[in-house]
Amino acid sequence: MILRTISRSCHQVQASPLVLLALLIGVVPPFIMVSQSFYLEGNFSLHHYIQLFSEQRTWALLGRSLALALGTTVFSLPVGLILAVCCVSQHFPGKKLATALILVPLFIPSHIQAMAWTALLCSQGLLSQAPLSVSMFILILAYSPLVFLAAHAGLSARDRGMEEAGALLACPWQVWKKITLPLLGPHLCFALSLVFLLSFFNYGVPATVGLSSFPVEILARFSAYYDEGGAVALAMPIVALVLVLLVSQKQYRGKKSFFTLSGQMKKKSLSERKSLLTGLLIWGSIAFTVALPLGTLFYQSLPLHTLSLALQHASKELGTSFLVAVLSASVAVILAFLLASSSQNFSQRGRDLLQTMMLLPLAFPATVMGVGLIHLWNRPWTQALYSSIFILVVVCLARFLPFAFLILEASLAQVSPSMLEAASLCNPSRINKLLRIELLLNKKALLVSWLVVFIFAMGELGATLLVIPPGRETLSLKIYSLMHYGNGPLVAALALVLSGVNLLVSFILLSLVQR
Amino acid sequence: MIIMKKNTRSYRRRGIILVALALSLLLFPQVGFSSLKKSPQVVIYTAMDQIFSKPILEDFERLHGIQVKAVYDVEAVKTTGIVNRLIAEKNYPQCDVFWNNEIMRTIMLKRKGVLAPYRSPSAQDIALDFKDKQGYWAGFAARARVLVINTDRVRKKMYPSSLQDLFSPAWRGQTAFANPLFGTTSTHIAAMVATQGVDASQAFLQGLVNNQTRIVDGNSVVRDMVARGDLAWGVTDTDDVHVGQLQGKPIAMVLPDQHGQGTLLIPNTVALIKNSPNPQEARLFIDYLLSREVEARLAASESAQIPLRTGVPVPEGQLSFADVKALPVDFEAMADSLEKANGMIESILLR
Repeated sequence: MILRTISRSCHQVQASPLVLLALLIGVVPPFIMVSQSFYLEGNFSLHHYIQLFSEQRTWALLGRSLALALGTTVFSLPVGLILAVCCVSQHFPGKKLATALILVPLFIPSHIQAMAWTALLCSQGLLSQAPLSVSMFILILAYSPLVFLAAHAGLSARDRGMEEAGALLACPWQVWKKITLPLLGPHLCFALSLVFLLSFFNYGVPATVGLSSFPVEILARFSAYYDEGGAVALAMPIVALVLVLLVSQKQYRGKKSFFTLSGQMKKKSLSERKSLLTGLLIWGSIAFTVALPLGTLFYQSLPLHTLSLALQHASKELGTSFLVAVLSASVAVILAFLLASSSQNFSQRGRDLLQTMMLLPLAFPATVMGVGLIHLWNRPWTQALYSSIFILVVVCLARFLPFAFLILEASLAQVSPSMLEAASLCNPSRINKLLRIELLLNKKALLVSWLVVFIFAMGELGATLLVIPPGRETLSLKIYSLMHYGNGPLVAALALVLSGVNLLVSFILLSLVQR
Repeated sequence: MIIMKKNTRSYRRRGIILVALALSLLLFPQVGFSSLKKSPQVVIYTAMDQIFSKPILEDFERLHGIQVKAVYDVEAVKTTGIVNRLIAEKNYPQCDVFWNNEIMRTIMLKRKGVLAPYRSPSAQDIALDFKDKQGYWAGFAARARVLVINTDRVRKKMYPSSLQDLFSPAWRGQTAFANPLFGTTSTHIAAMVATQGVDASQAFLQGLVNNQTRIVDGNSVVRDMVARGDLAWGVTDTDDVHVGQLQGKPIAMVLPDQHGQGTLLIPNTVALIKNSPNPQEARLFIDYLLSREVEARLAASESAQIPLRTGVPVPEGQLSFADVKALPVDFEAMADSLEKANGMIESILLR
């Protein structure tokens, strides 16, 4: 029975050319690297694993990175949740603008936030005294908006009638504990898993602050020892950890979704009231998490003409980054939509298998992915792709397609199959059904997933620098190159330009979502 | 049921079309986006800072009419990019010439079979110590490992003069050293292991820990922290100090151990890539890069590189080879010491 089910699942997965394409893009490159980690001088060997994991230092670094990720996750929860509750349940001056501004740190690459915060904290001497705490602090500020976003979506979409019915029989705390929190569970669970993964894999913040962490050690395996096998061996516990985390959060969520098709409040809350104190709290947190780092970058970029100089200096690189990000986001959304749409016809096991496969690329550091992509695509018959900027699109797809898939899969799962079947009875054209029903119903998810991939692609560095075609450069690479040269104002101005582009595109798209 | 089957077929058809489109892009390069072979070109991977190397590459383009396509490394990611890329691309090289801003990784690439020998006529007057015996690489325009000092915090009389001053109680917690796993700092520790032995090098690293020397993310960070006055002094490279001085930062440079064993000089290196796609253009570029004119340009640039040949003009006030008592090192022995040095660094400094 089990074998038959697995066989059916496998058949479903293998049957789809889309799945094969996704495998080729995101799963084959890291698996080429994994296979290499089991070889030493042409022979099968566990040498890399035995050597690295017999060292106490490896475990100490793993523990430190786990502590960093866990601490970031734990502290991001109250920060994001409190802000979301305040924004949803209270009225205060400039609420709509404040809700959008809280999300701004998500649109600024974390290494740029680290640049700004280290400039602020360096003079306090905090960096040397408590690098772990400082790294955690920066990561909490960078990633707690993810918790805010998820909690805000969950709170906005919930049926308030349930809470109000509960409030007739129990105190507000009981209502919160027994009704609201369980309703928010799937949203929070997904957001916290993402925060954990992103902070565990973050290289830029610990490296800038001067904290020896596991991702820094993986990089050292590459750049100090040039030991591909060792680097991949080091990444393997993370792969296992990611899989455990993703599978367990999937188990917890079950069929409950973290993405809601309609984000509007069903009913105005009876308890919604004006609060100046909440306004102060929200605007104060925005000043701290958004205005302070961006203001620092702005101050560093002075005089003002540095901004126009930055635009002149890096217009070509900005163009390349923008083109790559737009192409990556568009292809990722199309591919993820088709995959997620196909997966709705799979058996439960088939869907689980597809989801696990789609999430696997998230478990590999950018450098491992980059070297894997070279091994896969640098061949005589793929030179057209490898030597063009389309290889950068492949890099972004390999790294960020999982995010688009996760969002679209969750959104598509909420479209009633009976609705689609009824539509098919009236008009069997697949194109019509796709354009008039599926795309329209999932418009919000499509825009959000496009935006997520776009922002990640604009800031991509780790794998891009390994495959960038000769004669080309992206804005992130330019910023890092100039950082070494020590041109502070220009670096700060370019960081502001990058953040500004992300913010502008986000603003346009989120306005479309709200319509 | 029938609807579901139809849907599945439709999805498959759609997927097949998508894959076919993707493959067509790969299989028909001229229809797509590649025009690599149209004009003479040379592909350079360089670890030299873009701001210093780009004008040199542009001059070559102008002089020879050969298009230069460059990939620049990013210091912040510790030369992970280019060297790993060269290793990964070994079977199907994209690069013609590797211009490294130091020497250890070039020797490592030679040992991994990535390089091809080429004895450039331009390298004839370069000292044998700075050339590979088998012709796999040639050195030119060096940087020195120097002390950078904050002139507001330290009076001239108090300037440190030796690396041993890092261990003085007077400077406890006041100095910085870049992470020695990467870049020229790793070359520095490997040179120490090769010239002074394991015990002395271990004592040096332990001394850094004991005297609370700040281990930071790179040589430019050392320079910036000293320039800001966060620390009194640190160890960095000549180009970092010179760029900082041009930006008006309150820093001074001292060549360490000039009355002792000497200062470590780390040359740029250039090498031809084995089975490179444009070998003729590559050799022409190597000849150009190793010329005295380029060495003079690098000396006159903001990076203030030190020419390895006598008679190459150096701007007034800048270092020439004759001004430096260089630490005598065997670069191959240094490369042999690299792995041992890395192990010591990890176990002592980066716990």
